Amino acid sequence: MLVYTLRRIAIMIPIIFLVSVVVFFLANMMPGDALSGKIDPLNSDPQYIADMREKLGLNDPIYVQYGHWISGFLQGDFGQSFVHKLPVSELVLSRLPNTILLAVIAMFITYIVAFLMGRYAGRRPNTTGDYGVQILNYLALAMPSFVAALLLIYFVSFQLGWLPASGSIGSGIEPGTWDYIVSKIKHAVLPSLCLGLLPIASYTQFLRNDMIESAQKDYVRTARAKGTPEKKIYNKHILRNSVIPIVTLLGFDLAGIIGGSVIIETIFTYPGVGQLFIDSISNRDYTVVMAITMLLTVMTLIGNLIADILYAAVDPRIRLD
Amino acid sequence: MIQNQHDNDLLRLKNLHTGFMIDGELHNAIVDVNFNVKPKEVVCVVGESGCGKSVMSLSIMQLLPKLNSKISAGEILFNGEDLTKKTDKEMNKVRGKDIAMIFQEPMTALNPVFTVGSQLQEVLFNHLEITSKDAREKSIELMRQVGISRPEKIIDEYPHQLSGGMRQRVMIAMAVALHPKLLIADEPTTALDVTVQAQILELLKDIQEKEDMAIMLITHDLGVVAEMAHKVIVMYAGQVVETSDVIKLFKNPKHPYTKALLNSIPRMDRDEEKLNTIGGVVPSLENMPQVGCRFAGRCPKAFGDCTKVTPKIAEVSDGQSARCLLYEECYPENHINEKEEIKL
Repeated sequence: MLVYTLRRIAIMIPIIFLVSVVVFFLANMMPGDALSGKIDPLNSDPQYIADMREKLGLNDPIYVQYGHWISGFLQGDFGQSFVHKLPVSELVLSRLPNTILLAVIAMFITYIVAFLMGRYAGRRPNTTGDYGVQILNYLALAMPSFVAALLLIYFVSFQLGWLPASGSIGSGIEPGTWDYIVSKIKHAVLPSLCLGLLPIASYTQFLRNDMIESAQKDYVRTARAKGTPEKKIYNKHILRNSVIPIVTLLGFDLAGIIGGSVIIETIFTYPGVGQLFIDSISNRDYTVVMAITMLLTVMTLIGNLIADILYAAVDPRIRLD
Repeated sequence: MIQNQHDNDLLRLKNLHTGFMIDGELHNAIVDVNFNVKPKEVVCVVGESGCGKSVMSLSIMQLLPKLNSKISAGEILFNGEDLTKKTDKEMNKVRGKDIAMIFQEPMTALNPVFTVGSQLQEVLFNHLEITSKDAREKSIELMRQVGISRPEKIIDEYPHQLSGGMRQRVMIAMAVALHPKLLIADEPTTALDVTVQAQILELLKDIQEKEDMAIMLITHDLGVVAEMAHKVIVMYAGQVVETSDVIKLFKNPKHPYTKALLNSIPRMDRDEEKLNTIGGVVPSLENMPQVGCRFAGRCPKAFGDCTKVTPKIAEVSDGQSARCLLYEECYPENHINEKEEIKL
């Protein structure tokens, strides 16, 4: 198990390296360069522009530019954001906790709701209760997240005033206090709900379908033949098998939510990494774009690794040693 | 007289009908099944695939899916109590403790995510007030009794780490853990290779003698029948067609189906080029003839009455019953024999 994990981590390194090359070259192929975001081409002196280009190393061959970038990257220097005039690391780190909070709350809501609904439907297939759950699932699957977001903002925030619709923190609240924590969580609830809509629907279906299939397996019949009560049959024998696919999805979720938050954060003007990503692309803030892309890459790889480890943890047939 | 005969039956099936709902209609998979199992008796139930043997055994244990199946008529008397009248909770007290069952496919019969030991202990926890420590010790002892070597190590292993034969041994250990009076074994060796098969049958015989346990062994292998049975029940198309003492069955089978079955066993001592078969197929549930003998379409001895008169099962000689119009006892009451008609 340990060897397997170490081997997987070792393989991650060349993958990250390859992705960095692709990211860098793609960013460079886009119209404009680091400088065009900073200056107004009509107002500036062409000589100044040419000088600045030279100074910033933008005339060097591309592999040299790449070399500069990657060596800086490895030392923790992710460059400077042109739009915000801040080091990228500072910028991203200020946004990251918000997005992580969003991810954690979204996964929390997702797994609890999906587990309860999936178990409910899986235990009574083809009954009214089951049909009800499935209808909800289809609605959640069909509804685009931004439509859900707008509906939630209108009803919950505007009409009922229960939860705030934008930002990540109320104004004038001191960091470190209880109010601060409550306010942060309140601001994260609606965006998390929208983020979780699709996963809730798919995990509920997954669990329900797996439970129905597991209920027909031979080992369930064996357990019944031993006189095991029906409740234990479901909660122990069937569920323990059916949660396996769901648990493994946790790993993929990790990366997916950070990336998927892009639209949601924009709608809720929630200051997270996703919103920063979109803004930086439109502003041609390439250093930020590249840094966040690398971040997403690493998170996806780590997410995959976690998924594999979890899979081995819950399914004894998969232990690889 | 008949009352006395059945007084000490361990298990008695009376007029049992079990059916499935297909397209809203109830189709009986087994019809009018009557037989008994005495304490410590080994009864083998033989028949083709689809003859209803498994349905019958699952009916006894009430393990058929409640959604679309039901026992439509009859009684299942176990130690005098009618199992069909029991609730699920009451049946749970019986299953695993008074009646136990082992199944055909050891590869899939155990839950893959729990250790073998925990599944073995489950049957103990289901019925006894017992500590974890005692349960674990008892499980190790049980595994030793069924011939598993190094049980202290195997107890913590998962099913996929064991071979088919070992898994079946674990199943047997689970089944006999609480000293049931009746063990129902549904083709326990069909999925195993022959040497393992012999070992498992030896084990079952051993346990049967030590525990004073009755076994209802379901099989399609007449070799197993010869090895294990005291009494044999032959089933065809959902009905019992012959009941017999085992030696008499092989020496002097009464029903044409039984004769055909015995005839189709390949003989090593003769120079035969062709295998004997029984032509035709078992009629499907929906196309089951409701009148007449169900075997008539494939029977080499069939005559006019066979498709018109439904034979009942009757004792045709000492210790042997059959359901066949070749025997006058099998004609239903108040029916005039075809042959007698001609005489008149």
